[in-house]
Amino acid sequence: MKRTILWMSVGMLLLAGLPGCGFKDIDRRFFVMAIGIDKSEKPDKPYHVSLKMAIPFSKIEPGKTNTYQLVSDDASSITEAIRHMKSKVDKELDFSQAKIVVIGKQMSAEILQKDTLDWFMRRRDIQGAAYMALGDPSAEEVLNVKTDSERFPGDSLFLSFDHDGTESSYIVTEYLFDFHRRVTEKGLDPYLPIIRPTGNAYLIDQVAVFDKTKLKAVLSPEETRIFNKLVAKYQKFDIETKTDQIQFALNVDKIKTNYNIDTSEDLAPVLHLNVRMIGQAEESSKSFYEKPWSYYERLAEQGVAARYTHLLQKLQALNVDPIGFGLHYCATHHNGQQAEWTAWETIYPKLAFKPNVRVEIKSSGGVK
Amino acid sequence: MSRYFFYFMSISMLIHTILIVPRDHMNARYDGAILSFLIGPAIGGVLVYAYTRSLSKFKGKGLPEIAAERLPKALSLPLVLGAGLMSFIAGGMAWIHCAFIISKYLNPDMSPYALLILFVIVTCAGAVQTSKTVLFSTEIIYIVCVPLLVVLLIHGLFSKSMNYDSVKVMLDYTWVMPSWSSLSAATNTFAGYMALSVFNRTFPADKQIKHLWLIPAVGLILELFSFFIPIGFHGTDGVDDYIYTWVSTVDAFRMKYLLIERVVSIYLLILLVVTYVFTMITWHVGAELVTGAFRIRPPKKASLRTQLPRLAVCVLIGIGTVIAGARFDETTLFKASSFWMGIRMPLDVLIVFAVVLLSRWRLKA
Amino acid sequence: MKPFDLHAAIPGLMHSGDLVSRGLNIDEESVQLVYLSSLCDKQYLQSSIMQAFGDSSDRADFKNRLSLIPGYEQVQSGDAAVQKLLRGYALVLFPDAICAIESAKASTSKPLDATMESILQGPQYAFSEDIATNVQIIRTRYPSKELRVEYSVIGTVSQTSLAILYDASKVDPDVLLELDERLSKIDAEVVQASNQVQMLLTDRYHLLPTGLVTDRPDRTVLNLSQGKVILLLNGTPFSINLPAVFFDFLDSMEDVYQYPWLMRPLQALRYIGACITMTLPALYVAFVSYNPEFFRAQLAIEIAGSRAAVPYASYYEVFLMLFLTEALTEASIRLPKHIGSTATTVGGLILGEAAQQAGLVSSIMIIIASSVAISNFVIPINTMSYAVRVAKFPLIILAMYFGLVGIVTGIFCFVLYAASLRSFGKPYLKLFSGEAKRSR
Repeated sequence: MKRTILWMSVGMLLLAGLPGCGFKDIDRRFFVMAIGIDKSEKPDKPYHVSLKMAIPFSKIEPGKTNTYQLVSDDASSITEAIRHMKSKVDKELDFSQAKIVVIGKQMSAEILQKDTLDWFMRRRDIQGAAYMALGDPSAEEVLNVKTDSERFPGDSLFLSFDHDGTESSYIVTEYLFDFHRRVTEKGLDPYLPIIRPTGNAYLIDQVAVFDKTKLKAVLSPEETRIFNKLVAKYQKFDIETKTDQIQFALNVDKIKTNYNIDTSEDLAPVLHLNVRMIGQAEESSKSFYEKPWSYYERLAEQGVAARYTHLLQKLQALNVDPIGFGLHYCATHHNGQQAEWTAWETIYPKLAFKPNVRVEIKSSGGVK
Repeated sequence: MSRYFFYFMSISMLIHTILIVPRDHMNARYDGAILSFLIGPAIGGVLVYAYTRSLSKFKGKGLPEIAAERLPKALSLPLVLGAGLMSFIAGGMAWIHCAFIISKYLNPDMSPYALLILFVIVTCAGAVQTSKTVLFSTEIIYIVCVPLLVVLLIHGLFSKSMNYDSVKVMLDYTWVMPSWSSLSAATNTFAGYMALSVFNRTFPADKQIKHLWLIPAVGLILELFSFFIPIGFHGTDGVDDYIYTWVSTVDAFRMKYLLIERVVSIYLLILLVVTYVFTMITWHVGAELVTGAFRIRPPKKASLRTQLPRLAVCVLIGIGTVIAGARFDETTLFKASSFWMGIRMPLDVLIVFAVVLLSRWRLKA
Repeated sequence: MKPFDLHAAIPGLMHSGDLVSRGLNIDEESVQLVYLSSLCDKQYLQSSIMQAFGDSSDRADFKNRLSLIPGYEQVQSGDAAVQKLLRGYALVLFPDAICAIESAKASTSKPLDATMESILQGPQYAFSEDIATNVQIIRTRYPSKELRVEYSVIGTVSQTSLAILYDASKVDPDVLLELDERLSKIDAEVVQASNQVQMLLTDRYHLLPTGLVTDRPDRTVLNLSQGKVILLLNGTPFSINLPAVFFDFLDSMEDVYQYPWLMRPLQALRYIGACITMTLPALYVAFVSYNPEFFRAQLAIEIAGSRAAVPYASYYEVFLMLFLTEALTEASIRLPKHIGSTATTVGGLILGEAAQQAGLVSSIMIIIASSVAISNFVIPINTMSYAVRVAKFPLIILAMYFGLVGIVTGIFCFVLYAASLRSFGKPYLKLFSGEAKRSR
C-alpha cells in the first residue's frame, strides 16, 4: 500500500512538473502561411517583411475560414524584422507551415544575394520544398489577397503551385531549394513565377528570368507556357494552329523533351531540341476527318517550333540560361570544368537553335 | 544466423553514409571523393573478407577469447581493449552527430545535452543486454526502418528535381587522387565488421557467411547515392552551403500523397532509430570487448549483477560522450570525426591483420 | 466394544459440520464409515459401500468386498486420511486399517461458451471449470498416444490440482525441466486463477505476458501439436500454454481456419491496431506540443482551432480522456452485464460529447480516445491487451518531455525490452523464428 502511494505521488509529480523545454501547444502558436519580402522606402531599414498568419478555426469552410492576420515590419535585416514582429502578436510564430515565399518585385536583385536567401536556408522550420514567387507590384499586396474559394489563408496559392488543384500550363513552379541551386550553379540560372493580385484573386501567368545578379526580363504569358515545358518539364499544353484553311486546337497531355549540343563545327554550334507531343484535338473549324491526321500534325509542328525558337532566342539575347544548357554542356564534355565553362561562355551567344518538334494526334475527341 | 551479419553491416553503412560521412565527401568533392568510392569499398571488402573468414575458423569464440588463448597478456590486453574503445568512440561520435541534428531540426528549443543524456541512458540499457537480445531487436528495427530509407533514396533518385547534369559535371573529377580523409571516410563505411569480434560467439561456426560480395556492392551503391543525390538536388556548388547535407536534401523532397507532407521529419525519426541501433551494437561490442580484455566472460543468463561490469563501462563512456558533446561545437565535431576516421582506418587494418595471423598460426599448430 | 478413535484417524476434521460418521455393525464386530457429505455422492455410497456391507457376512468379508470397488485404496491414518476425505473419498475405518473409496460427486461443471476469444466459425465451447472434464476435452481433441498427462498440486494451502499436458514426441525437454524447477519454487498459499499461475511461473514484474492463457480448447490443442506445454488448473476454465512469444498474443484462432489471403490483412490490422493504441495519445501530445509541422496546414489550423477552447496543456487533455476511457472499460468489465451497457452508453456518448462542448477537450481528442479504445480491443488475447493499455502511459510521459524523440525512444525501449524477454528459453520477440507450418 505504501508503495502504491509512493508511485502515485511520483506520477503526480511527473505530471505537475514542468514538461520539457520547447513544449508549446499548437493553440499557442501562430502559423505563418506565407512570407513576403519587400523593399521599404527607408534606406537604413531596407527590408519590409510581411507575414500572413492563419487564424485557427475548428471547422474549415471555404471562403469563411481564410481569415488571416497580416503583420509587417521594416528592419535592417529579416531576422531583425521577425524579432520585432514577435512583439506585435500574442502567440509564438511558427514557420513550419510557411509553404510560400513571395519576393517583392523591387527586391528581386537583393534576393539573389547570398545573405538574403541565406535566412531561408538557415532556418530549420522553413521547408526546402517551399514555393517561391515574385509579387508584382509588391509581396505585401499578394499576401493581402483573400480569395473566396480558399479553405485557409494561402490555400489558393498552394493549390496553384502544387498543380494539385488547378493544372494550368501558365503556372510555373519554383521551389526554395531549387532557387538556391540555380543561384549557385554555373550554367543554370534562376527564374521566379510572378503573382499579380487582381482584386480578390490572383493571376499567375508570367515568369521572371534572372542571371546571377539581377532580374533580366519578364516573359509574356505565351512565352511562359513554352518556358514551363522546357524548364519545369510540365506535361500539359495546348497548341493553337491557325492557317488560311483551318483553325484548330490540340490538347497535349504528354511531352517528351531532350536536347543535345552539337559543337562539331566550331563556328556554328547548334542546339538540337527534340520535342515529342502526344495529344488530341479539342477545337477545330473543320471536320478533322477530311485529311489524314499527319497533315494537321505537320501544321501544328511548324507553329510550335517557331514558338520554341522564339523563346530560346529571346533567352539567348538576354544571356540567361534557366534551362541549363550550360550545365548540360559541362556535363557532356569532359575536359575540366573551368575550361568547359569558358568554352560555353563563348558558344552560347552564337548558338543556333534547331527545334525538331513532332506532334502526334491520337484522337479527334468526341466528334469528327 | 548469418543474416544478422548483414543487418549490422548495413546499419553501420547507412549510419556512415547518411550521418557521418557526407560532410567529408562534400568537402572533398573536387578532390578525389569519387575515386575514394571505388577504392574504399575495395579496401573495405578485403578487410571484411579477411576478418570474417579468419574468425569463422574459431568456433563460437569472440575476439577476447581468441586473444586470450593465443597471445600473451601483454599483447592481448591492448589489442582487445583498443578494439573495444574504438567501437565505443564510433558509437559516441554517432550520438553527438545525431543529437546535434535532432536538436537543430526536430526539437529546436531543447539543448543537445538533454537529448544526449536521454540517448546515452537508453543506449547503455541496450548495450548491456545479451548479444542475442541485441541482434533480435536490431532485426526488428531493421525490417521496419530500412525499407523506408530505401524508399526515400529511390524517391530522390527518380525525383523530377534531381538534376543529372550536375551529377555528370562531377564526373569530371573522377580521376583525382583522393585525400586521406575522404579515403578513410569511404573505408570506414565498412567498419561494421568489427562487431563480428563479439557476435562471432553467437554465430554457429559450421556455417560460413555467404554472399559476402554483397557488402562492397551495397556499400558502393550507398556511397554513390549519398554523394550524388544531394549534388543532384542542390547543385555542384550549392551543396557546399549545407551542413547536414542529407537533412537538407530530404527537406527538398516532396511527396504529395504521403500522410505527412514534410518527409524530412520522418527521415529524422528513422535516422534516430537507426542511430539507436547502431550505437547499441557498437557499445555492446565495446562493452563486451573491454570487459573481455579483463577476462570477464559473458554469463549464460543475463541479470543485473552479471552485467554490472559492462554497465559500469558503458556508463563511464556515456558520461564521456555527454561531456564531449558539451565541449564540441559543429566545426570541431566535424574536424574531430574526420580526424578520428583518419586514424581509425590503420588501426582497423592492424586488428584485422592480427586476427588473420592468429587464425593462420592456429592452423599450423 | 471400544469406539473408534476418530481423533487419531482424522485429526482436525472432527468438528466439520458436514462430517458424517456412522458405526456399522456386523455381528459383534464394528467398522466406522466416515465421509464429508458435501463432497460425496450419496447414491454411489449406497450402491457401493452399503451394498457390500449388506452382502457381507463378517468384517473380513466386508473388507474383501470393499477392495473390489473401483477407486479403492488403503491409507494411513492421520494426514493422508484427511487428504482423502477432503478429496471426496469415503473412509471405512477398520481396527487395523483404513480403506478409502473414491465416491466424489460427479462434476456438475459443463463446458462454457467461449467468451474470451470469440470467433465466428470454429469451435464454440470453451473449457469447463473442472480439471477432469478439461483433460477429457483435450484427450478427445488430441487422441495421440504421445500425449502425456501429469498431475501435481500448487498452492501450499489451496492444494489446487494442476495438470501438465504435453506431446512427448514434440515437446522441448528443456522447457519441461525449467517448468518443473519453477513449479517447485512456487510458495504461494492460495492459487485460484490461471493468470496467477502464469504470473507465478514468470517474473512478477514483467510487463508483457510470457505464458498464454486461453479458454479455447482448439487453441490449446494447436499449441500442444506445436510442442508446447499445457497447464490446466482445477477450478478455472483456462489453459496456460508455455512457452508463448509475442506474436502468439496477436494471433486469433480464425487465422488458422481461414484462407491466408483473407486473414493476413486482418492480422496486419491487429498489429496496426496494437501500434495505434500504444502510440496515438503520445503522438497527439508530441504533434500538438512539439512538432506541428507533421500536420498538413489545414489540419494544423483545425486542431489549433478546436484546441482554442481548451485552457489546459495537451497532456492534461490526453490524461483526462484516457482516464475516462480506461474507467469505462474497467467499469464495463466489473459491473453486472445488464448495467454495463448502460454505463458505456452514458460514458461514451454523453460524457465525450459534453466534455468537448464544455471546452475541456478538443474534438480531435475525442476521436483519438475512442480509436485508442477500439484499437485496443482488436488484440485477441486479454493479457496482452492489458499490457498494451499500460504501455501507452510511459510513452505519453516521454512525449511530454521530449516530443517525438521521446516516443521513438520509448518504442525502441519497448522493442528492446520485449526482445530481452525469454519465455522458457524461447526468445520472446524474434522475427522469422520458423514455426511449424504443418499444423495449419
